[in-house]
Amino acid sequence: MVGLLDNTTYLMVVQLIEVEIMSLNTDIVKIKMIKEGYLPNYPPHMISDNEMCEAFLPMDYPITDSEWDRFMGDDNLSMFKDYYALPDKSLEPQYRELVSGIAKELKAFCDSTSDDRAIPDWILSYMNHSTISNSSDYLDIDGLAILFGIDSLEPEFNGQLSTYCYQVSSSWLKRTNQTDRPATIFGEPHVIKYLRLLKSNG
Amino acid sequence: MQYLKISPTTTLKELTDLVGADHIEDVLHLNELPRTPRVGQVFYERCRNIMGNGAITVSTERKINLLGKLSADADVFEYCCLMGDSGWKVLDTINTLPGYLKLPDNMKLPPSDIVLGGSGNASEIIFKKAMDQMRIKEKVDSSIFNDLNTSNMPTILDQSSSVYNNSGIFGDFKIPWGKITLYSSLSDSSMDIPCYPEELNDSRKANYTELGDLLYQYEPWKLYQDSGPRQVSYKFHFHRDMWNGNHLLGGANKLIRFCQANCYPRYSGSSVITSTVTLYINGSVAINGILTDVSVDWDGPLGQDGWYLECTMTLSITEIAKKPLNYDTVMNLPIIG
Repeated sequence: MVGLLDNTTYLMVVQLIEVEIMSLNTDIVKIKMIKEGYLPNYPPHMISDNEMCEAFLPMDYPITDSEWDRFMGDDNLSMFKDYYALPDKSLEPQYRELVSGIAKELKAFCDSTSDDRAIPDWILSYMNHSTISNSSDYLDIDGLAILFGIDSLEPEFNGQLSTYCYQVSSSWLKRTNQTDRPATIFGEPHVIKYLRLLKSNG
Repeated sequence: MQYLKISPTTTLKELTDLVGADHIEDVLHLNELPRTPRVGQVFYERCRNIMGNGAITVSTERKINLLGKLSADADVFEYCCLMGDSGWKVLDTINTLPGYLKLPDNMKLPPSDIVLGGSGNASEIIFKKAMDQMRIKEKVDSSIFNDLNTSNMPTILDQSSSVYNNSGIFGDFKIPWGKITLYSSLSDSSMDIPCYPEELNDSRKANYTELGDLLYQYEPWKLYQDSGPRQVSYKFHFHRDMWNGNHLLGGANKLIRFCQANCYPRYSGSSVITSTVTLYINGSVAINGILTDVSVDWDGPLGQDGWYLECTMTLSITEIAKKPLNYDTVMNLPIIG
């Protein structure tokens, strides 16, 4: 069907599909956040994307020291903090860099009035919990650990695994020239992809 | 009414999985809990605040009054009778048990170790005894519930901790809980044995019949009849304090009774149902068969209840082979085990 469309119509169709996918993604995230109590119990279409972002990571950009201390405190309630807690104190600078990167993107998203605004895919992977962290399923953590060559009977997402993730993420971002986002200390899809590529290349 | 036990780390998602999405709003509303991800934390903080509030006191009359209303469920009644003062404060203030959420009357969860209630009325004798003791002694003795322990009154902290918290003199020993387990098919239940078998006797036999009345033969003629079933006896040597440091709780005695009961059938009308047992060691099946002998040797010093503390229990199990046995299959069995 695409072959029958002229170039302008084809681009419009692609754009429409992208908007639909974005909407589906945010709806799924909203439903998950409503079910888990991070958002009030309304139907997902009654909740705006900005409210969703606020519940996911309630943080302004740039992050001040006092705001960071409040974020790291026990009383802070956010989905990001619950799902992606700092695995090891030594990684706090990298963690802060990551949080800062996400806060920056979310702020840009919330401030935008464009109809085409979209949350970057890599942040959506945190929102829908497809990025692996210490709150992920045991088998997912084990799968990631095995890719790093750690074969443990009781895999856990600890500081060591997190440091490896950071190294792999940094080198992938450098290799693909993605300078607009920070490296991650969690098992983001690109970390897994890079490890698999390395493995398949021997 | 049923009560559901939650932990301080229970999230809203976990609670929804337990009570179902249709009931979650009712449960939160009934317990006056906000819709927050850390629902367990909020509930426990509320319980702790009430328990630590010195201004709240619950009089004996009030306790009797509350107990009277809880007699519809035997387990809830027992729990309330045995809880400490802080538990009563919570019950009087927010009408639930410490660490337990009230469930709406229109929902019923299947019985499990995290659900209280739904077990039927408290027996009249127990109810009367409890009320009398509460009136006279202002507390209820656990012995009226046939609990073997009369020295420890449970509190919220005791109940939230593991049953097998290795306290007491065996606290420093690494007891292999969960490694050695005996399963009974009759009751579909299993019990842990807190030690590995000290001795093992494994016997396989071959049976031959003798051809009689043969003359002039320098040795008898043998005809293969069958290979006798494999019989294995395991000797366990344990101490009654190994359960949780308190032999009065009778953990060892319960284990022995469990083993002995498997020697007997269950009669159901005209049918007789016997039990098969499976002994698991380190997660793999050591033997599956029928329990033919349970012998117990008591030894050692006497405990606080006047009974021996040290025990040697021997279990004899006749194997039920899972697959047909012949020379080759037996040759190919694992070398050890």
